[in-house]
Order: sequence, then C-alpha cells, then structure tokens
Amino acid sequence: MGLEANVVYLEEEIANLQERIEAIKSFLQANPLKSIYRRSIRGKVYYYKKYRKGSKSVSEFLGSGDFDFKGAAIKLKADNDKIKKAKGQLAKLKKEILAMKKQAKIARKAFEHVRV
Amino acid sequence: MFEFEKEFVGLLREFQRKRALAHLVLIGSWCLPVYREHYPIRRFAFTTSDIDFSIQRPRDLRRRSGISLQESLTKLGYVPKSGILSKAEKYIPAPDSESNSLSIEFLCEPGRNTSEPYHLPGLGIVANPVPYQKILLENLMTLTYKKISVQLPQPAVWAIHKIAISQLRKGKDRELKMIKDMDNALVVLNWLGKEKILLEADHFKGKFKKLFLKGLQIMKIKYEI
Repeated sequence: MGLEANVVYLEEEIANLQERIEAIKSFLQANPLKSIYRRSIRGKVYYYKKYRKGSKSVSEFLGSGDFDFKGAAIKLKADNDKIKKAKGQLAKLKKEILAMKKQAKIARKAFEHVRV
Repeated sequence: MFEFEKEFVGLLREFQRKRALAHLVLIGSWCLPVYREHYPIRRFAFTTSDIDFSIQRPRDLRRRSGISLQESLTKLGYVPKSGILSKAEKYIPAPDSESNSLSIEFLCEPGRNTSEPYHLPGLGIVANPVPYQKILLENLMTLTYKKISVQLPQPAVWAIHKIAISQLRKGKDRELKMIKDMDNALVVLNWLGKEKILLEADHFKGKFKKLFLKGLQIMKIKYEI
C-alpha cells in the first residue's frame, strides 16, 4: 500500500477514534458516578442518591421507609461499573489517538518528502 | 487473522441469525477479506474500522416493521450516533464496550427527489443515501465467509465502482482519498487484469462510465498499468 493510502487510513482512523472519544465524553457527562446513602431524621429513614453535576454536588431524593435500598444499590453499582468501563475506554482511546497522530505526522512527512 | 476479524465475523453471524443478510450487501473495503477467501488476490495492508452495508430495495422496508437491527447492534455493544448537520446515522462502539472497535454504516441509493437519510422501520435503522449504489446492487454475488453467506458486488464491478467514485471525493484530502480508492481497486485489477475490467466497464454508460474512464486514466499514469 502506498504512502498516500497510509496517510488516509491513519486520518480516517483518527477521525473514528475522535468520534468515539466525543461519544464517551458526552456519555460520562450525562452519567456521573453515583452513590446512595440514607439519612435518619427524627426516627424516619430517607434515601438519597448523590452525584456531581459540574462543580456542584447534587442529592436526589429516592424514597423513605419501605424503599428498596438493596435493589437500588445493586442497580447503581451496575451503572457505576458501566461508567468505570467507559472511563477505562476513554483513557485507552486517548493513548491510541495520540500514537496514531504521531504515526500520521510521520506518514504525511514521508508522503510530502517523496512528492517533492 | 487480521485486525477486527473476530468482531466482523460476530457481526455477520448476528445479522445471519436475524435473517437480515438477505437485505444487506457488504460494500466498501471490507469486501476484500471476503474476496480473498475465494480468489487469489494479493495481501492488502489495511482494513479500516468502517464497515459499510448497502440496503437492497430500501423502499420495501419503509413501511412494514420486522427485523430490528438496532436492537441486535445494541445487544452486540454498539450505539447509534447521528451527525449534527447531516442527520446520517452510524453505529459506533458503546462507551462501555471494551471489545468493539468497528463502526457500521448503512447506505442506500438516493431516491428521485431526496438526499435525506432514509428511515427504515423494516430494519429499525436509518440508511444514508450515497450515489451509484445501484451499480453495486445490480451486480451481486453470494460468497461464504467463515460459513456465513454474504452478498457482495462482483469483484470487477466493485473495482470499477471504486475507480469511478475516486473521482467524486471531496474535501481537503481529496487527492489522498482518491489514491486510497485506487489502491483498493488495484488489488482486484491486478488479479483480474485490465482487459477484463474494461470489458465489464463496457456495460455501463453515462456519467458513471466517464468517471471510471477518468479514474482509470489517472491510474494508468500513477501505477503504469
């Protein structure tokens, strides 16, 4: 395969990776890591979900008394695992794109050198 | 085994299980690994992570609902992503997917009056209209790939199409993309021979033929064929 095709291949792959990175970033922005906690006020138990939105910490009321705390905690853990996986993917893709950008720079230089 | 092969086979297997392969035609550079299973074509260096499928008779799939490809793709770990301006849809790996790398796009022949993306409830997807798909869809063949029957264009027509569309490339890297298309076409051209390709190209006429001849002229100079 020629030098030109190599440049195009790398740039297409960079664009694909960039697209994936953007998608993961918007997913992480829409789905922050959450935790669940309970508060006892005057003998009554209330359940809340806590997460960060921008620089603020947000507490969301979930229920009180017979609220299914265990079920909600399991669901939240599954969601958090998904978010952690996405964070891992983001770090991996960022490394990949950096390496690919370096390769593309070299490939483009080689292509331009041959053309001259 | 080449890069992404396992994922590609998994995708085909799921489409076969859903009986969607009857409506889909594999096009683009991913035809090369399938051709290579059956024909003595030389090794090709790269396969991009973009897989393109063309849809046969998309108008038939506009009304009735049936196979949900979106559901299948979501199950496999892909999510639809729409372009901001173009409204075109593409499936990319889900944010939490660790094993997927491919992007899947569905294409179709544009309608008479519209270049808008086609919503196909029959397959549960949105197809992007791209010109000259008809040429590929009218010259189909079925090949087996890892025991899966896949519909794809005949190699000669695929190469002719690549050479012709290389002349339609736009944007800043127009020239480089054109050469990449030609490089791909050259793999088939070297195997079939120029005469056979020219003989096949005689079946086409109009603007498409002109584009092909223009592309071939550039290839003659660049690759000395």
